[in-house]
Amino acid sequence: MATLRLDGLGKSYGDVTVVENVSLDVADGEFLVLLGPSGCGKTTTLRMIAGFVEASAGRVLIGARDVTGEPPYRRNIGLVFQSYALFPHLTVFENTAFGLRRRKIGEAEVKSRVERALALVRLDGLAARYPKQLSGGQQQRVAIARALVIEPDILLLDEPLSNLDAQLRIEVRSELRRLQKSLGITTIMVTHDQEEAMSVADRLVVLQSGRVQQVGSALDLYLRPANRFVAGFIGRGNFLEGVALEAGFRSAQGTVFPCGAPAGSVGTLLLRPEHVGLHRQQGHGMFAGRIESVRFLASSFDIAVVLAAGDRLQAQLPATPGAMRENWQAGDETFVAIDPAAMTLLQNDTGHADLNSQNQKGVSP
Amino acid sequence: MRRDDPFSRKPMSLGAVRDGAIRACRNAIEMMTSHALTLALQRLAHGAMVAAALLVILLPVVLIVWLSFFTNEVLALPPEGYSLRWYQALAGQPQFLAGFRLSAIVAVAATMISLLVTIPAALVMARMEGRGREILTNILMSPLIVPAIVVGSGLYIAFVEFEIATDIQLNGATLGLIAGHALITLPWSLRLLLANLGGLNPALNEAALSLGATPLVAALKVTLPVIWPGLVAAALFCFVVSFSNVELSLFLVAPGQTTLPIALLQYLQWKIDPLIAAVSTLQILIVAGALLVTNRFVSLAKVV
Repeated sequence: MATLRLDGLGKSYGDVTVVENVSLDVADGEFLVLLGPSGCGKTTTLRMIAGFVEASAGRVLIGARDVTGEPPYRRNIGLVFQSYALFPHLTVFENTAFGLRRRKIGEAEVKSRVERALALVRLDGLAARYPKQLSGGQQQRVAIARALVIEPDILLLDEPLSNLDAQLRIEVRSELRRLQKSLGITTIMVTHDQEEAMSVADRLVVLQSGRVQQVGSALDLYLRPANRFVAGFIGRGNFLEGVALEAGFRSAQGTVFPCGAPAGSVGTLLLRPEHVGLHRQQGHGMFAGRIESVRFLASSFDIAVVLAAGDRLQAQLPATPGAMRENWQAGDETFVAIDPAAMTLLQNDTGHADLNSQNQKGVSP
Repeated sequence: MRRDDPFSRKPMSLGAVRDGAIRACRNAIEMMTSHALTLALQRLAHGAMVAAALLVILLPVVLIVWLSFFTNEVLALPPEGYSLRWYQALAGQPQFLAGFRLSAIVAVAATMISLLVTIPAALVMARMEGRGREILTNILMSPLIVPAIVVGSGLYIAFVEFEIATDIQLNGATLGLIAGHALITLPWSLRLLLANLGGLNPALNEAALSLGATPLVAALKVTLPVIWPGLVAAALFCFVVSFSNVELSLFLVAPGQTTLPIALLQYLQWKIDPLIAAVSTLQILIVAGALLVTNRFVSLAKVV
């Protein structure tokens, strides 16, 4: 167990920069998730920590130990692969014992440690099986036991759940989280699945184009996204381009939203679909509009609304009995209520925005 | 009238319902029997094709074994009688034993050279992509494109030039034979290894490294055992290709320095008697034995 520090880590292949100046401090026992779309550099970062990719810049420190120049086999890092990478010619027992045998540990201790590791992932009794005789979920657990049994300083998980089916994925991830907390092992996981990331992580690191966009807890990233990319990646959002005035944020279409942003700044207003309320009667601070379409998604309704000025908003209503009775239909008149506290102004990274073209984009998933 | 529309259908009389039901049952039975008949015919045709294929493949082998026990000197059917005289006659033909020895030595050596070259090549190539891999594959497969007899004559000329330049004799020498055979076994070994390595997950090696294995230990403890069946299959193929080669060896052998197939060929130029069948039967036994023994260690059906 140890802390992990990435210090200005970077990787480029010729002119192509894959990872740029990533600096992170991971606390002892923390579960950190690197989150981002494919090609964002998250896997390369993980592989630099593991030692399979040589860093072009920066350092990797495990505790006080600088391992930047160390080969993978001297880093004492446990690694779980997306494909599990179990050795097909070895039994579950020998797969798990592989790392211990490399450490020249006595047979009696190997046996007891392997048994304990397999019990930890609830696979005791399957030690004599070969990997191909196991289900996907069981193989995954062998891979975890194999990585944990060497008592690594850091545990790295490379998209460990993406080969499992949906039901199993939810089971394994809560088990993973429980295991990680009970062992108190510093863990870095890579994933592109925001729900998966939020369900296990203490802190998330959102990466895009090789750069860290934001680091924080799931709630931090949701409530205070640093930019539009993070806002669109953690949860969903309506993005309205416009200018902040004295009275509030004026969208390109002309609707004025009462959010307390410093006047004069150009930016994007973020409205979460789940914070958009729909009412039959006009009330204080509501915007008149019309329902454009309604989709029922079992646990919620996805409703598209066009405001009087022309702004298009996506609303997500939980499918409560009340919402069922309300029975919104396309074409209905509606009044939209949005809590000013739920309005977040994002500064444009690009400086200026083309006010007319970007307004109609609506929700990005 | 729209009879198919369920909403416009009039209520049927009881008699019409019964007639309809009987008709439906009869149709169903007819369909079932004709379906079963088609299936049976298909199975029969399939079985006949398999049997015919097996016959074509096995008939020569069976014939040769049968012939080797004929008493008569001139091949004729039906045989005059059966005996072991041709197996006894082998004792008086030392060139076959010598040929067998040389063939075995050359085949083993060529196989080893092929594996030594193609194992590292295949390991690297399995991780390559695009043009580089294509070019390398084509270079290493090129001995297959040229007919072996052309390769043989080319090698003969090259070896002569080599001998003039260095005074080292390769034509008619075991070393030259081995070099030539390594050339033609190489593509086989590469193809088999590449096919086998295609299924090798590169993460296996990384998993071993992350668990503390040095690259050498990872290769010995993980990569080698995983590719072992493919390796055995490749070795077997190389051995058989080399052992049965005639065209290439033709140019590179010398009197008293002959491989078994060439010895057989030379014998056949003068005589056609069941002695040849006896030699072939022994050869079949050896190869079949090798296959059976190998199959005990690796399941050949999985890799070839």
